[in-house]
Amino acid sequence: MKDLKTQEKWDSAAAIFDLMGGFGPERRWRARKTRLFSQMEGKVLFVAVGTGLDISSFPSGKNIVGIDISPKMLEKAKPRADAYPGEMTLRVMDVHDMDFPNAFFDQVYTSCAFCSVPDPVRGLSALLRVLKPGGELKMFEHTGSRCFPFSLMLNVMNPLFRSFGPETNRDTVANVRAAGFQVRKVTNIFLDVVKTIEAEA
Amino acid sequence: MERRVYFILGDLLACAVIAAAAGLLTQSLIPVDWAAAPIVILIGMLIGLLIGLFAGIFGGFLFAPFFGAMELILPVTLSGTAGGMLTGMLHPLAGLTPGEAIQGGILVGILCLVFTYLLQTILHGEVK
Repeated sequence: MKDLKTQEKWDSAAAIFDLMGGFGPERRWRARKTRLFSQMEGKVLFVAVGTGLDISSFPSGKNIVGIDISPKMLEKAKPRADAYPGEMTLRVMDVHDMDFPNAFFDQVYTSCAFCSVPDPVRGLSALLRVLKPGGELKMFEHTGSRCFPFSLMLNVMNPLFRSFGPETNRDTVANVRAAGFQVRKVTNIFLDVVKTIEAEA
Repeated sequence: MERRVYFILGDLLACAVIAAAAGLLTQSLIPVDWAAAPIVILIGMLIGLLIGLFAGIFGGFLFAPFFGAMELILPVTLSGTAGGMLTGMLHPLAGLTPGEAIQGGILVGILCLVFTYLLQTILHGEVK
């Protein structure tokens, strides 16, 4: 069943998404994301591809399926996916309710996705289902913090931010473990808030 | 730690501007003739904290498209909050002028950014 409330939220955000995230945040993160995405191998699922800002950081010649709950986001992503020098398809799909067969992908990548997925553990469990045994989950995410005063600030900001965009105080590493993945490596990019998480199915 | 000049200058600008704005706003909203009793200083600090927090979040959104998301929003929000709190405490005591509130805010903004950068050098890298 499609989560219409979440879909509407991200459809509304599509109009200003590139304006808010396309220049400063992407320039700041591009080198780190490029390094993470350079490990793409085999059949890859990219969750919450959004307007496709990350596509220019993908290595060429890969086989990638990008999903997003928002059709308006994917409309903007389409020219970027078409220009990708490899095989890339886009599908409107809710991560909680994917129609891919079990053990279908070699790797799953996310980029600032599980700050927004309404039920993160259920969404991550769904990723575990579509990954082959031993398949890899590689995430670039922002999370809550354990460092005062940032921990307090992210908790205070959360009700405001989640009304139109992401949540700011999630413990995504714990969610990955709770979904049944083996966490292999966590690397802090900015404080303990922006990080890469590498896990195995 | 961030080494790109564009982003360092952006962080510095955003933190200084928002902390100064929070200081000025707090200075203009708290009456100068408040008695310097501890409870008044506490109330001033709380008013400054709220003004600064919202100025910081607003500032984060204003500057984020140019200079980054969490890397900017967190130090800017900290700067706004600290700038507002400091002015809220000092103004009932010392009757700050608008210029002094702005100068204090700029200093607080720079210190908050330095604090964030120092914390970043400690936390950055693989989590053991």
